[in-house]
Amino acid sequence: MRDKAIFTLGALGALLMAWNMHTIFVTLAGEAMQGQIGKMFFIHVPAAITAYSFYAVAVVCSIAFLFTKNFKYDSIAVSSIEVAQVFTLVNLVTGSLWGHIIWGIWWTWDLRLTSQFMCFMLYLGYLLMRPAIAEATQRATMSAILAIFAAADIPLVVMAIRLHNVRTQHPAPVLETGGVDASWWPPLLIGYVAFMLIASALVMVRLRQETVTREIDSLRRELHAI
Amino acid sequence: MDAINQTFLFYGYSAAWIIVFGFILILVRRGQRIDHELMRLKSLMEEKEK
Repeated sequence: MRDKAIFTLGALGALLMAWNMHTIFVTLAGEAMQGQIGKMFFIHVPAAITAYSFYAVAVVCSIAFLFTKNFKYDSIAVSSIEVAQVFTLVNLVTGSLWGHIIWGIWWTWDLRLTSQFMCFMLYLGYLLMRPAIAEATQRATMSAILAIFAAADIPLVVMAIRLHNVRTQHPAPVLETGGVDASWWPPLLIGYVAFMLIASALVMVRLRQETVTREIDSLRRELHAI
Repeated sequence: MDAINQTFLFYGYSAAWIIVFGFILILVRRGQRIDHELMRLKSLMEEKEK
């Protein structure tokens, strides 16, 4: 049943993304000022929003773990963070390639880019810290605290281009200010839905692995006790 | 200029899919490793119980 759900989500996401890429590359005209490279928007922005959606899931589950001590929440949190990291990396790489053409530089340490990079590094720290703590409850508790702490960076990423007293290299917000042409909204939203479907399938696969890993740990303890 | 734009757009989309498929590959290999380990421990458990 779960395998079917994973396959359905993944296949639906892949099909939707293939159809969307056809629209982006064949039907849609390039951006007025930037030309074709402006279409990086359709992968850069949905990747970021997908990542934040799963970081949010991880934070909610981390809080739930701290209250209930139920390891199911810890498993969902780590699975969500691992998948969110993939989409954060997609966001960083596509942004860098876009910046190379539009700005003439691969990277700059402005508030938006730095805070996004910090977000990636903080959650990378989360993933690297976990194997270093042997005791399961301690590992899950420390992980939950770090996941919540790291999420404090996300409002900074979002607000970095909205603060009046901060100058950034990154473009000003366009989603809520009417800066996106009406013809660009459907591929943007479809891109987000497709990424969410693919990411959900990946989280479910990762979650299954986390469950098996816990089973392995308990079997090892039993074998050690015999 | 538009040719360079097109090339870098292609690089961007390629990089995105390479990252996603790379992660899928990591998941598959990790899955195989832990399934194998689970089977090994289960058979070891059966042996010890006999």
